[in-house]
Amino acid sequence: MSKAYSFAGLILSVLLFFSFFLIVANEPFPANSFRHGELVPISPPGEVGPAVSGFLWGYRGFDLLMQALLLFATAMCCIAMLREERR
Amino acid sequence: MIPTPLLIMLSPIVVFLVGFLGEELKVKNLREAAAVAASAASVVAVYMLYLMVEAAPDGILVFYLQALPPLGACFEIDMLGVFIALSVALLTFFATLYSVRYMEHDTRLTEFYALLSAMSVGMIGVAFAGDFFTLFVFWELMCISSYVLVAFRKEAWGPIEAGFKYLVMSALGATIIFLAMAFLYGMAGTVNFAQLSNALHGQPMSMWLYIVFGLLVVGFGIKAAIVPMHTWLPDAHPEAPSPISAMLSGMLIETGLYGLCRILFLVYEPPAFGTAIAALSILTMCFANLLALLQPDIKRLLAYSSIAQMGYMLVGLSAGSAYGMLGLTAHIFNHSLMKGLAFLSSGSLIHMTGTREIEKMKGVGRMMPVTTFTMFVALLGLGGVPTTNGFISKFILFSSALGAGMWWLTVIGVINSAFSMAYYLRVLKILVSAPEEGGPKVSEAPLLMVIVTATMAALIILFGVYPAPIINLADSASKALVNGLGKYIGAVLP
Amino acid sequence: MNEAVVLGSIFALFSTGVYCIAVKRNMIRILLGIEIMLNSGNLAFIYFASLKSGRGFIDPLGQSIVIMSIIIGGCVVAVGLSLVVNAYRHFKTMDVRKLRRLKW
Repeated sequence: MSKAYSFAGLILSVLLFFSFFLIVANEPFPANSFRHGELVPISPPGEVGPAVSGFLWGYRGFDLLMQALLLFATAMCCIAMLREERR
Repeated sequence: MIPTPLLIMLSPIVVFLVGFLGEELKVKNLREAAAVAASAASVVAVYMLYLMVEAAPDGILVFYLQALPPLGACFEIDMLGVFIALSVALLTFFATLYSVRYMEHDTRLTEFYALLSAMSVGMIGVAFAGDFFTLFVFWELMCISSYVLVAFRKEAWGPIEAGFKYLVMSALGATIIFLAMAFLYGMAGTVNFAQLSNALHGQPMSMWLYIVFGLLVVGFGIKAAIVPMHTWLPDAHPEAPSPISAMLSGMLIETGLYGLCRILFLVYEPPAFGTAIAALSILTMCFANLLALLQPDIKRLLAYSSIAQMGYMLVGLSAGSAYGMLGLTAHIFNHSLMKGLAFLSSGSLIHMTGTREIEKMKGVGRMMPVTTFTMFVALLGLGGVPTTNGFISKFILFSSALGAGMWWLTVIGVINSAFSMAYYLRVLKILVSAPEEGGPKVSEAPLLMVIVTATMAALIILFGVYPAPIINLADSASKALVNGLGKYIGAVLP
Repeated sequence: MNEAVVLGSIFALFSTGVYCIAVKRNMIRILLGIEIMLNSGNLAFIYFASLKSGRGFIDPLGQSIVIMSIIIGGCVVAVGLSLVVNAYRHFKTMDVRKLRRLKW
């Protein structure tokens, strides 16, 4: 019984899939054709990267250096755990 | 700027590079020499910082890299930070020297010494941090190195299981600390300790401050092995190699307690947290001492004993006075020596007999006299017998609870301390009893291990008979924490 | 209303993380629970940074802390996954219920 249901479901989904193409072929989507002027009043901020790293290095430089030490320690940990030495 | 002694923060990298060179060029013992030299250098460097802190006005040093402290990250080193760093450096030196001989048949030793050095750098950084986020970065450095050091002997199942459980619980604790940091940042707008204290100290307790208090106690308590959150400890300590167990039990959990003390005294006032900490301390002491009686494994017994000793230290914290904090800081130093010695001598016993069960070590004491004597000194110190330094710090802890009016805490503490002698003496009795027929036949441990344990035992007895240097140092440390709040804030905010 | 939504979602993320750690059996899912909890702390930092100054930009301190905390979370999960790889290589299991050999 469930085989009949799954077959029916398969036929239905295939028909749905192809019907989508029939609609799109007849009429393309009217993208942006009803817009009026600039809706988003902010322009992109330009240089965000240098400003953020300026703050990070200028005010939190010590934490960044210690973070580098922590990344080194993590690399050390992964080497220690994953190295296979045959003795 | 950054003074020269703080260059020890680079020692993990140096140890790794020199050790890697030693392995590639096949120079024997180069990496062990580098590791021992790095740990000795850190002892010297912390001592130099101690001299600088004594000579400084107000007894506080502030170090920063480029930006001024309230917004920029900084180290704010006062006497308490130097005291904790001194204990860490000393125990790391002993543990590194011991592991030269203990770990000589293991693989991946370059990474071992580099991670041991990184763990010690992390603990020293936590002691010195002047900023909550700097403390968090060093906290994670300390924790991440310790996860892998616990799971180091990965061929057996036990260390992997213990390492994973420890990782999950400890990362949970660190995340809870991070959330508490976020709430404090939301309330005060800053993560700097001096500015947080300036903003929040003395405010009436509201619901959000209680929530932050709960988060801090749970987060730091997972690391400090306070009782409902201690479940990782009895698995992690036995499965780690013995020098790592000594470091974990000797200083890692005390660093958790230091973090808790620092933030509680900065943000809250002693009457607000006294009762809650007293309740946790009773729970910790009683639960750990009861469970330690049932353990057949020597390292698991010592692990439960560590939890009980943390309970005694919490008695000092709940008293809330400078005298209570004197007991806590003195007991941190003494416990690091005593528990470190206990784990190192039991490591010698395990190294020679090959087993961790106490019952199988019957009569070993007669064949390994020096190690058994050092074990004897360590366990008596842990139990609080006079002429060891454990007696003095426990005396100060329990009498400070009396001074704060909590006589029931003193009574329970003394009963627990006497009760703990039961399982310590059981270990000693089995060690010195007559050897059985089919029992182990062992000789004394290697010379280097014996030298390290004998030195630590001599220090325990020396500080038990002549405690003045440690007590004076701990006294200035505790006064800097409890009474020196104005100076702490004034060093950063003009 | 805005504050209630954000605080509610911080709490929801936190409890999702705790649920994952407490209930899930696969080791990797437990590690993901830790990541989710760390994200709740990040959200709290960003939200409080946005509240702090009314000057038109979000407090840069909160953002810097979040950037660094993401790295820290990645490190913790890296080490955890190396432990999981070891557990699988040697013992062919990733089930935490089998990690019950150490009791009491």
